[in-house]
Amino acid sequence: MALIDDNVVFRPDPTSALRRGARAYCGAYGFVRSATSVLKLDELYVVGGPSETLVIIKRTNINSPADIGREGSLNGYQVSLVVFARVKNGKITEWYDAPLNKVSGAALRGSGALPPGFGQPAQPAQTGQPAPPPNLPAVCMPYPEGSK
Amino acid sequence: MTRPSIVLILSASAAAAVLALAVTFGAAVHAQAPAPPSVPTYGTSKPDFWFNPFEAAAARAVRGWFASWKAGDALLLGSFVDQNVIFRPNSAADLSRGRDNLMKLVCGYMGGRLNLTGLYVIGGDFDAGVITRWDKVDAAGKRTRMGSFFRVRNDVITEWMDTQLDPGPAPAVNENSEACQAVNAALAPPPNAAPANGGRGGN
Repeated sequence: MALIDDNVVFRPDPTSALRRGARAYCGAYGFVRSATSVLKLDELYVVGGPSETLVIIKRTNINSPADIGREGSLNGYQVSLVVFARVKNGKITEWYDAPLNKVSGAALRGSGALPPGFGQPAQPAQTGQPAPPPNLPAVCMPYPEGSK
Repeated sequence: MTRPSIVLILSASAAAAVLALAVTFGAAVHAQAPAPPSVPTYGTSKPDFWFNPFEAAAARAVRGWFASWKAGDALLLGSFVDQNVIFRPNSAADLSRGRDNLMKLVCGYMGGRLNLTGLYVIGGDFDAGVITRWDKVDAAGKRTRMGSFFRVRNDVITEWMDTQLDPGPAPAVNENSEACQAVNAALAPPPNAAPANGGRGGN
Protein backbone atom coordinates (compact mmCIF):
# COMPACT_ATOMS: atom_id res chain seq x y z
CA MET A 1 0.00 0.00 0.00
CA ALA A 2 3.04 2.31 0.31
CA LEU A 3 3.04 2.51 -3.49
CA ILE A 4 -0.61 3.51 -3.75
CA ASP A 5 -1.56 7.17 -4.12
CA ASP A 6 -4.10 8.43 -1.56
CA ASN A 7 -6.47 9.39 -4.39
CA VAL A 8 -5.96 6.26 -6.45
CA VAL A 9 -8.65 5.56 -9.06
CA PHE A 10 -9.47 1.89 -9.53
CA ARG A 11 -11.79 -0.75 -10.86
CA PRO A 12 -11.55 -4.37 -9.70
CA ASP A 13 -13.07 -5.50 -13.01
CA PRO A 14 -14.57 -3.94 -16.16
CA THR A 15 -18.13 -4.12 -14.85
CA SER A 16 -17.32 -1.93 -11.84
CA ALA A 17 -17.84 1.80 -11.62
CA LEU A 18 -14.78 4.01 -11.24
CA ARG A 19 -13.89 4.05 -7.53
CA ARG A 20 -11.47 6.32 -5.65
CA GLY A 21 -9.28 6.35 -2.57
CA ALA A 22 -6.63 4.17 -0.95
CA ARG A 23 -8.99 2.77 1.71
CA ALA A 24 -11.49 1.46 -0.80
CA TYR A 25 -8.65 0.17 -2.97
CA CYS A 26 -7.32 -1.83 -0.02
CA GLY A 27 -10.78 -3.27 0.57
CA ALA A 28 -11.26 -4.25 -3.05
CA TYR A 29 -8.01 -6.23 -3.37
CA GLY A 30 -8.13 -8.96 -0.76
CA PHE A 31 -6.03 -11.18 -2.95
CA VAL A 32 -2.83 -9.24 -2.28
CA ARG A 33 -3.22 -9.71 1.50
CA SER A 34 -3.82 -13.42 1.24
CA ALA A 35 -1.20 -15.57 2.96
CA THR A 36 -2.08 -18.64 0.90
CA SER A 37 -2.28 -17.25 -2.62
CA VAL A 38 0.50 -16.00 -4.85
CA LEU A 39 0.73 -14.11 -8.10
CA LYS A 40 3.04 -14.24 -11.05
CA LEU A 41 4.09 -11.29 -13.20
CA ASP A 42 4.11 -12.45 -16.83
CA GLU A 43 4.48 -9.30 -18.91
CA LEU A 44 5.01 -5.59 -18.33
CA TYR A 45 5.15 -2.67 -20.77
CA VAL A 46 5.40 1.04 -20.02
CA VAL A 47 4.58 4.21 -21.98
CA GLY A 48 5.57 7.40 -20.18
CA GLY A 49 6.50 11.05 -20.19
CA PRO A 50 6.95 13.92 -17.74
CA SER A 51 3.21 14.24 -17.07
CA GLU A 52 1.98 10.68 -16.93
CA THR A 53 3.03 7.06 -17.25
CA LEU A 54 0.82 4.21 -18.45
CA VAL A 55 1.61 0.60 -17.62
CA ILE A 56 0.09 -2.64 -18.91
CA ILE A 57 0.74 -5.87 -17.03
CA LYS A 58 -0.17 -9.51 -17.53
CA ARG A 59 -0.58 -11.16 -14.14
CA THR A 60 -1.57 -14.65 -13.08
CA ASN A 61 -3.26 -15.14 -9.72
CA ILE A 62 -2.53 -18.58 -8.28
CA ASN A 63 -5.18 -19.29 -5.69
CA SER A 64 -4.16 -21.28 -2.60
CA PRO A 65 -1.73 -23.71 -4.26
CA ALA A 66 -0.80 -25.24 -0.88
CA ASP A 67 -4.39 -26.40 -0.34
CA ILE A 68 -4.41 -28.85 -3.24
CA GLY A 69 -6.68 -31.77 -2.43
CA ARG A 70 -8.49 -30.04 0.43
CA GLU A 71 -12.25 -30.03 -0.01
CA GLY A 72 -13.60 -26.63 -1.01
CA SER A 73 -10.17 -25.26 -1.83
CA LEU A 74 -9.35 -23.40 -5.02
CA ASN A 75 -6.49 -25.91 -5.46
CA GLY A 76 -4.05 -23.49 -7.06
CA TYR A 77 -6.62 -22.36 -9.62
CA GLN A 78 -4.97 -19.84 -11.93
CA VAL A 79 -6.63 -16.65 -13.17
CA SER A 80 -4.91 -14.57 -15.86
CA LEU A 81 -5.56 -10.84 -15.85
CA VAL A 82 -4.53 -7.80 -17.80
CA VAL A 83 -3.82 -4.86 -15.50
CA PHE A 84 -3.87 -1.27 -16.62
CA ALA A 85 -2.11 1.17 -14.28
CA ARG A 86 -1.06 4.80 -14.21
CA VAL A 87 1.94 6.03 -12.23
CA LYS A 88 2.80 9.58 -11.24
CA ASN A 89 5.60 10.78 -8.95
CA GLY A 90 6.42 7.22 -7.92
CA LYS A 91 2.87 6.43 -6.80
CA ILE A 92 0.24 4.31 -8.49
CA THR A 93 -2.62 6.65 -9.35
CA GLU A 94 -4.81 4.15 -11.21
CA TRP A 95 -5.25 0.38 -11.10
CA TYR A 96 -7.63 -1.64 -13.21
CA ASP A 97 -7.93 -5.42 -13.49
CA ALA A 98 -9.62 -7.18 -16.39
CA PRO A 99 -9.86 -10.96 -16.74
CA LEU A 100 -8.38 -12.41 -19.92
CA ASN A 101 -10.20 -15.74 -20.03
CA LYS A 102 -13.81 -16.83 -19.82
CA VAL A 103 -13.04 -19.27 -17.03
CA SER A 104 -11.79 -16.64 -14.57
CA GLY A 105 -13.86 -15.73 -11.52
CA ALA A 106 -14.04 -12.07 -12.48
CA ALA A 107 -15.36 -12.96 -15.92
CA LEU A 108 -18.05 -15.15 -14.40
CA ARG A 109 -18.91 -12.47 -11.82
CA GLY A 110 -19.18 -9.97 -14.67
CA SER A 111 -21.71 -12.18 -16.42
CA GLY A 112 -23.65 -12.62 -13.17
CA ALA A 113 -22.86 -16.33 -12.84
CA LEU A 114 -21.14 -15.94 -9.46
CA PRO A 115 -22.07 -13.95 -6.34
CA PRO A 116 -19.88 -10.93 -5.46
CA GLY A 117 -16.84 -11.96 -3.41
CA PHE A 118 -16.84 -15.57 -4.58
CA GLY A 119 -13.33 -16.95 -4.73
CA GLN A 120 -11.81 -14.06 -2.76
CA PRO A 121 -9.61 -15.19 0.17
CA ALA A 122 -11.11 -14.67 3.63
CA GLN A 123 -9.77 -11.68 5.55
CA PRO A 124 -8.08 -12.06 8.97
CA ALA A 125 -9.99 -10.59 11.93
CA GLN A 126 -8.48 -7.41 13.45
CA THR A 127 -8.79 -6.21 17.05
CA GLY A 128 -8.65 -2.69 18.52
CA GLN A 129 -9.87 -1.07 15.32
CA PRO A 130 -13.11 0.81 14.72
CA ALA A 131 -15.77 -1.30 13.09
CA PRO A 132 -15.29 -1.09 9.34
CA PRO A 133 -18.13 -0.27 6.99
CA PRO A 134 -19.71 -3.29 5.32
CA ASN A 135 -17.33 -5.15 2.98
CA LEU A 136 -14.27 -3.14 4.11
CA PRO A 137 -11.70 -5.08 6.17
CA ALA A 138 -10.45 -3.44 9.37
CA VAL A 139 -6.88 -3.64 8.10
CA CYS A 140 -7.82 -1.07 5.45
CA MET A 141 -9.22 1.55 7.83
CA PRO A 142 -5.90 3.41 8.44
CA TYR A 143 -5.63 4.34 4.78
CA PRO A 144 -7.11 7.65 3.59
CA GLU A 145 -10.43 7.69 1.82
CA GLY A 146 -9.06 10.06 -0.83
CA SER A 147 -10.77 13.08 -2.28
CA LYS A 148 -13.87 12.39 -4.33
CA MET B 1 43.66 15.75 -33.75
CA THR B 2 41.02 13.32 -34.92
CA ARG B 3 38.34 11.94 -32.60
CA PRO B 4 39.66 8.32 -32.73
CA SER B 5 43.09 9.57 -31.69
CA ILE B 6 41.61 11.40 -28.67
CA VAL B 7 39.62 8.34 -27.67
CA LEU B 8 42.71 6.16 -28.00
CA ILE B 9 44.79 8.46 -25.81
CA LEU B 10 42.05 8.75 -23.18
CA SER B 11 41.58 4.98 -23.19
CA ALA B 12 45.30 4.44 -22.82
CA SER B 13 45.44 6.96 -19.96
CA ALA B 14 42.56 5.28 -18.17
CA ALA B 15 44.08 1.85 -18.63
CA ALA B 16 47.40 3.15 -17.30
CA ALA B 17 45.76 4.64 -14.25
CA VAL B 18 43.99 1.37 -13.50
CA LEU B 19 47.24 -0.52 -13.94
CA ALA B 20 49.03 1.87 -11.59
CA LEU B 21 46.36 1.41 -8.96
CA ALA B 22 46.62 -2.34 -9.30
CA VAL B 23 50.39 -2.21 -8.84
CA THR B 24 50.05 0.12 -5.83
CA PHE B 25 47.60 -2.11 -3.99
CA GLY B 26 49.22 -5.29 -5.18
CA ALA B 27 47.56 -8.46 -4.07
CA ALA B 28 44.94 -6.59 -2.04
CA VAL B 29 43.17 -5.65 -5.24
CA HIS B 30 41.06 -8.38 -6.78
CA ALA B 31 39.57 -8.01 -10.19
CA GLN B 32 35.79 -7.70 -9.85
CA ALA B 33 33.82 -9.88 -12.21
CA PRO B 34 31.31 -7.76 -14.13
CA ALA B 35 27.79 -8.05 -12.72
CA PRO B 36 25.64 -10.31 -14.87
CA PRO B 37 23.06 -8.39 -16.87
CA SER B 38 19.72 -8.13 -15.11
CA VAL B 39 17.18 -10.12 -17.11
CA PRO B 40 13.57 -9.73 -15.97
CA THR B 41 11.59 -12.91 -15.47
CA TYR B 42 8.65 -11.36 -17.32
CA GLY B 43 8.20 -10.24 -20.92
CA THR B 44 8.79 -6.59 -21.81
CA SER B 45 8.43 -6.73 -25.58
CA LYS B 46 6.25 -8.72 -27.94
CA PRO B 47 6.65 -8.65 -31.73
CA ASP B 48 3.54 -9.15 -33.82
CA PHE B 49 4.43 -12.74 -34.73
CA TRP B 50 4.10 -13.69 -31.05
CA PHE B 51 0.51 -12.42 -30.84
CA ASN B 52 -2.16 -15.01 -30.16
CA PRO B 53 -5.31 -14.70 -32.35
CA PHE B 54 -7.09 -12.53 -29.76
CA GLU B 55 -4.12 -10.19 -29.49
CA ALA B 56 -3.81 -9.98 -33.28
CA ALA B 57 -7.49 -9.05 -33.57
CA ALA B 58 -7.16 -6.43 -30.81
CA ALA B 59 -4.10 -4.88 -32.46
CA ARG B 60 -5.97 -4.71 -35.80
CA ALA B 61 -8.89 -2.86 -34.20
CA VAL B 62 -6.60 -0.36 -32.47
CA ARG B 63 -4.54 0.25 -35.60
CA GLY B 64 -7.83 0.84 -37.45
CA TRP B 65 -8.79 3.37 -34.76
CA PHE B 66 -5.58 5.34 -35.34
CA ALA B 67 -5.79 5.12 -39.13
CA SER B 68 -9.31 6.54 -39.11
CA TRP B 69 -8.32 9.17 -36.52
CA LYS B 70 -5.47 10.27 -38.78
CA ALA B 71 -7.83 10.35 -41.77
CA GLY B 72 -10.29 12.49 -39.80
CA ASP B 73 -13.08 9.97 -40.43
CA ALA B 74 -15.18 9.65 -37.27
CA LEU B 75 -17.70 7.27 -38.83
CA LEU B 76 -14.93 4.91 -39.92
CA LEU B 77 -13.48 5.14 -36.43
CA GLY B 78 -16.89 4.19 -35.06
CA SER B 79 -16.80 0.97 -37.05
CA PHE B 80 -13.97 -0.24 -34.81
CA VAL B 81 -15.92 0.58 -31.64
CA ASP B 82 -18.53 -1.41 -29.73
CA GLN B 83 -21.95 0.22 -29.41
CA ASN B 84 -21.70 0.10 -25.60
CA VAL B 85 -18.10 1.31 -25.36
CA ILE B 86 -17.01 2.98 -22.12
CA PHE B 87 -14.50 5.79 -22.39
CA ARG B 88 -12.61 8.65 -20.79
CA PRO B 89 -11.20 11.41 -23.01
CA ASN B 90 -8.45 11.96 -20.42
CA SER B 91 -7.36 10.34 -17.18
CA ALA B 92 -9.09 12.96 -15.01
CA ALA B 93 -12.50 12.42 -16.61
CA ASP B 94 -15.24 10.15 -15.39
CA LEU B 95 -16.47 7.21 -17.41
CA SER B 96 -18.84 7.92 -20.30
CA ARG B 97 -20.70 5.37 -22.32
CA GLY B 98 -21.88 4.74 -25.87
CA ARG B 99 -20.43 4.81 -29.39
CA ASP B 100 -22.53 7.78 -30.52
CA ASN B 101 -21.32 9.86 -27.59
CA LEU B 102 -17.73 8.83 -28.28
CA MET B 103 -17.93 9.84 -31.94
CA LYS B 104 -19.50 13.20 -31.00
CA LEU B 105 -16.63 13.76 -28.56
CA VAL B 106 -13.64 12.76 -30.66
CA CYS B 107 -14.76 14.28 -33.97
CA GLY B 108 -13.54 17.71 -32.88
CA TYR B 109 -10.01 16.47 -32.23
CA MET B 110 -9.49 14.19 -35.22
CA GLY B 111 -7.40 14.66 -38.32
CA GLY B 112 -3.93 16.10 -38.77
CA ARG B 113 -0.58 14.44 -38.33
CA LEU B 114 -0.32 11.49 -36.00
CA ASN B 115 2.37 8.90 -35.60
CA LEU B 116 1.66 5.62 -33.81
CA THR B 117 5.08 4.76 -32.36
CA GLY B 118 4.35 1.86 -30.01
CA LEU B 119 1.66 -0.75 -29.30
CA TYR B 120 1.59 -3.51 -26.70
CA VAL B 121 -1.28 -5.98 -26.40
CA ILE B 122 -2.19 -8.61 -23.81
CA GLY B 123 -5.14 -10.78 -24.74
CA GLY B 124 -7.11 -13.93 -24.06
CA ASP B 125 -10.36 -15.52 -25.21
CA PHE B 126 -12.48 -13.17 -23.06
CA ASP B 127 -10.79 -9.77 -23.29
CA ALA B 128 -7.66 -7.96 -24.47
CA GLY B 129 -5.89 -4.85 -23.18
CA VAL B 130 -3.79 -2.58 -25.37
CA ILE B 131 -1.63 0.46 -24.61
CA THR B 132 -0.19 2.65 -27.32
CA ARG B 133 2.36 5.42 -27.59
CA TRP B 134 1.74 8.05 -30.26
CA ASP B 135 2.68 11.56 -31.27
CA LYS B 136 0.12 14.21 -31.99
CA VAL B 137 1.51 16.94 -34.28
CA ASP B 138 -0.42 20.22 -34.51
CA ALA B 139 -0.68 22.53 -37.50
CA ALA B 140 2.43 24.43 -36.34
CA GLY B 141 4.43 21.19 -36.23
CA LYS B 142 4.57 20.97 -32.42
CA ARG B 143 4.78 17.35 -31.25
CA THR B 144 2.94 16.19 -28.12
CA ARG B 145 3.57 12.67 -26.85
CA MET B 146 0.38 10.80 -26.05
CA GLY B 147 -0.58 7.45 -24.55
CA SER B 148 -3.83 5.52 -24.93
CA PHE B 149 -5.41 2.53 -23.28
CA PHE B 150 -7.94 0.25 -24.99
CA ARG B 151 -9.86 -2.90 -24.18
CA VAL B 152 -10.94 -4.99 -27.14
CA ARG B 153 -13.44 -7.86 -27.19
CA ASN B 154 -14.76 -9.72 -30.24
CA ASP B 155 -12.68 -7.53 -32.58
CA VAL B 156 -14.20 -4.21 -31.45
CA ILE B 157 -13.00 -1.61 -28.96
CA THR B 158 -14.99 -1.78 -25.73
CA GLU B 159 -13.00 0.79 -23.77
CA TRP B 160 -10.77 3.78 -24.54
CA MET B 161 -8.80 6.36 -22.60
CA ASP B 162 -6.30 8.96 -23.85
CA THR B 163 -3.69 10.72 -21.77
CA GLN B 164 -1.14 13.40 -22.52
CA LEU B 165 2.40 12.32 -21.58
CA ASP B 166 3.95 15.76 -22.09
CA PRO B 167 2.96 18.80 -20.05
CA GLY B 168 1.04 21.45 -21.92
CA PRO B 169 -2.42 22.77 -22.68
CA ALA B 170 -5.21 20.43 -23.66
CA PRO B 171 -5.61 20.07 -27.44
CA ALA B 172 -7.92 22.51 -29.18
CA VAL B 173 -11.33 21.24 -30.21
CA ASN B 174 -13.10 22.08 -33.46
CA GLU B 175 -16.76 21.15 -33.16
CA ASN B 176 -17.45 22.40 -36.71
CA SER B 177 -14.90 20.11 -38.31
CA GLU B 178 -15.84 17.98 -41.31
CA ALA B 179 -15.71 14.93 -39.05
CA CYS B 180 -18.24 16.47 -36.64
CA GLN B 181 -20.54 17.50 -39.49
CA ALA B 182 -20.46 13.93 -40.79
CA VAL B 183 -21.22 12.55 -37.32
CA ASN B 184 -24.06 15.00 -36.73
CA ALA B 185 -25.58 14.15 -40.12
CA ALA B 186 -25.26 10.41 -39.51
CA LEU B 187 -26.74 10.55 -36.02
CA ALA B 188 -29.58 12.96 -36.81
CA PRO B 189 -32.98 11.27 -36.90
CA PRO B 190 -34.43 10.90 -40.41
CA PRO B 191 -36.87 13.69 -41.32
CA ASN B 192 -39.93 11.40 -41.37
CA ALA B 193 -39.06 9.66 -38.09
CA ALA B 194 -41.83 9.29 -35.55
CA PRO B 195 -41.38 11.46 -32.45
CA ALA B 196 -40.06 9.70 -29.40
CA ASN B 197 -43.40 10.04 -27.57
CA GLY B 198 -45.36 8.54 -30.42
CA GLY B 199 -46.80 11.89 -31.49
CA ARG B 200 -48.93 12.27 -28.37
CA GLY B 201 -47.51 15.71 -27.62
CA GLY B 202 -47.43 17.16 -24.13
CA ASN B 203 -44.46 17.21 -21.76
